[in-house]
Amino acid sequence: MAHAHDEEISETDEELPATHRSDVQTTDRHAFVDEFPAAARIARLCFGVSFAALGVGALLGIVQALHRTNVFRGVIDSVDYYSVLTGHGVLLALFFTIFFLTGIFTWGTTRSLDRGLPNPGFSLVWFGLMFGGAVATSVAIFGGLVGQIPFSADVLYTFYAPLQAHPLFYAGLAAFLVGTWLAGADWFRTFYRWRRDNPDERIPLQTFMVLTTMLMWYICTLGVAVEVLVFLLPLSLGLIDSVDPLLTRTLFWFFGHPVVYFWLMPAYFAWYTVLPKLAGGRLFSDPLARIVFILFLILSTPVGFHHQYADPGIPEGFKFIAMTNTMFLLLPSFLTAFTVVASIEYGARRRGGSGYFGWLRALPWGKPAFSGCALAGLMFAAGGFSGIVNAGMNINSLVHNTLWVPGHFHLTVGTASALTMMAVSYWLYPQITGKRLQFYGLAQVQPYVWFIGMALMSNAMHRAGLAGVPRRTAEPQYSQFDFAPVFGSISEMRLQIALGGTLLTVGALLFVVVMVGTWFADRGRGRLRVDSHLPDPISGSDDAPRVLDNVKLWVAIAVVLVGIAYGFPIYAMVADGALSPGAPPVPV
Amino acid sequence: MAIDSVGTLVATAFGVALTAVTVGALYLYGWRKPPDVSYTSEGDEDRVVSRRRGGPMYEAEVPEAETESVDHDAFDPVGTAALLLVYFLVVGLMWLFMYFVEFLGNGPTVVG
Amino acid sequence: MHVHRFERLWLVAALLLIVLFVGTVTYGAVGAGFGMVDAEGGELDPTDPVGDDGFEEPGVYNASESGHFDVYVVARRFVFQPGTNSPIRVPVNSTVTFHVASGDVVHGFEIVGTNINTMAIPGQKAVVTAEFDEAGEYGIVCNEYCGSAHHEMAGTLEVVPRSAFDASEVS
Repeated sequence: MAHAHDEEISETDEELPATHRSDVQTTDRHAFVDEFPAAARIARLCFGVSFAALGVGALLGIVQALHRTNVFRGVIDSVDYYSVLTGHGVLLALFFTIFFLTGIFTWGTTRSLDRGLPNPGFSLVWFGLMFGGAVATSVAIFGGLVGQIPFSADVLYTFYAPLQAHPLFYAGLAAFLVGTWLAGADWFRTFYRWRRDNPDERIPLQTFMVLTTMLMWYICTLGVAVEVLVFLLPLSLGLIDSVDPLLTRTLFWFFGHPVVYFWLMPAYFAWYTVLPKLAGGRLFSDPLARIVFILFLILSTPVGFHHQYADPGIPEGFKFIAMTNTMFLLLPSFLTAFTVVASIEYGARRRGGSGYFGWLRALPWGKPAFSGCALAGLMFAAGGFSGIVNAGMNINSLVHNTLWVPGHFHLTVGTASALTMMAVSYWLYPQITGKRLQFYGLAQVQPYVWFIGMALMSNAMHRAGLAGVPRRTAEPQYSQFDFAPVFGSISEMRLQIALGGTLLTVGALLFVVVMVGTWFADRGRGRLRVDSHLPDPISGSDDAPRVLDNVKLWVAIAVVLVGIAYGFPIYAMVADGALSPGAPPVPV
Repeated sequence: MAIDSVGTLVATAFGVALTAVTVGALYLYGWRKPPDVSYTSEGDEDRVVSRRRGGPMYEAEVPEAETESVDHDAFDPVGTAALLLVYFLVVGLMWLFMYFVEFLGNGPTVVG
Repeated sequence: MHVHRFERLWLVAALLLIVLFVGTVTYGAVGAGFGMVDAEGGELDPTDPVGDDGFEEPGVYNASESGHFDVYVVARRFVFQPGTNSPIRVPVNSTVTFHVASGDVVHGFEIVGTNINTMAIPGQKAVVTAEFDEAGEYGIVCNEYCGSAHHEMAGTLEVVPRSAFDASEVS
């Protein structure tokens, strides 16, 4: 029953044909791929690059896990470990996560505003910039593994000066970044057009989340943009001959903490707006979800010094301010725990669950979209705790730059974000491709494989870190001394890391197989197994005070807090010369 | 370096393949879409049902539970409260352990 | 705005946890006297920290107070001077101030099995003080990636009984 919709688009919802009205339940609701083909295309492109980056990044990860544990060192030699590590970090933490964000935010904005992209050509431009930048940076990194290619970028995901990569690395990152800025502009534009037609309505929750996330992104990427465009790219091109490493590090971490929220907010986006439906429940509170995103907008950036607790050149008072801001930044995550679990519990009880804990059994653990999100949330509870230790200023010296830190972030970006992104894809990818999910059995199993693998690898990493084992090291076995762990032994930890890493790689490959299989499946006629209807929240947007939608106010507060946290220290670093004390570059 | 003379071949093949995939993808998804219906305002393009082979895809039916209205005072998330109580205790105790046992017990600490 | 009473309870609980964390850390700083490396070390020449920048030749020195020592360490790709080719030696029951500098890129200076863990950033002097109340041998590890042989950058710190400590080693 295909319709050709060539009538004028009307101003109000009531005049639209039945299939476009979100409140009418018909069995003829078009899948997103047919409802908004241009947006679906952009989302597919973004997800395609995201999943490819995940696949390659995962393969790099197993090489690393086997190498540093001394289980198998036959793939690369230790010098090349750092090229692999750079690739693993950049492909997974920048490309896999951020291309996923641009895909899901394109879907969410379009869907919640019930409105197509204003100019699909423009959308292809930002995608092209992001993709071109990602390819350039990746080529620079992989050049480090291939002798005949004169580039390399063995600088790791943090690219601290004065270590210096080939200019292609920095240029690619800059292009990628500008692409993300334009993506945000695209969603803002869609929103403004909607606002013109709907002057009094509350901003739909998904769009609100997209806009607040992007506002946070615009504020925080200023730091890394200045670092790369003013300092590191000119340095690598020979236009300047030295930079102040403390200043460039500080500019990186200005960005480096909020970027983790750029990874986490798409996961929260899914947990708040989609997960309740997957559990058969409803979002417990729309206003609280808005408050959480506002708190992230305000507090994500003025905490960056907690990554620099061990740095000389930064006064202790400013480290203390960062510490207290960071501890308060726990609040939106704690609030999320309540709202999301309550939303799921509502579903469990509707499904017949009872008791204080027994209701958990009534949840659809056999549905991979649900189980992945739920396991990701559970693991995040643990990862959040190790993050609190990281944030604790003096206690940070117990774990700084040890293997505890990768233990922590594999639980957070590596599970809370990554596993949620994979899980949501099981539900969303069919809708943006028009294909039914293939290899469903593999999909059902995949979240559990990931969870078990991560539990093994991460617990061992945490304990090894407590014994002092360093991170970012190809061979953490030293002839001068032994590590003395309090619980367990170093050899048992190495085995768990290798085994856990292997399971994780299997988990990533299972996901890629399901996605590729779905991509290549026939579109066919008929019906998907999923629907995109998101039920009304228990406490809806009408209950949310209007001030929450006043994003200008929140941006102003965010800027003030950033000024307090960073103003004086950066001024002090720049006052004696922005390039001074100047360290010359060390190419790697 | 790890890979030597094979390297050039691999790098070239990789570059060519990547370029081909990119160009192909952009062609298939970007340039070929025919605007076969006239539009009267921006954003209309997305309202046209795709003419892809096989016809349009429809979603599954929406479960009735999702469309009923609910009373927001009727639900007390006691299970959530129970889980969070456990979490509160675990985090609190783990923090005290980490700080006062692991950290303080880890030998000399910086005092200034 | 309707906030469920459980949610209000949880908000209070969450704030209590946050206060616990901030409070413990503050106690550590103010009560137990733990310090952080900060800006008091001042700035140095990024490629040649030794010399007239207030940074002595690498080694162990007597400080003005008895039982106090100053250790000047330069971190370079891929050695600690001193530390790698010869161990850093201090007597037990001493208060040691490490002055750590880098001659090239960012390095880490971690004394394994302790909470002494600081960065060496070219252009900055890291100053950290700690008390060594027990004799023993500690490893020193560079825990920040500094290049292709980063995994070989290590050293040792020996805290020796007074009788075994040769006072002539100290400048």
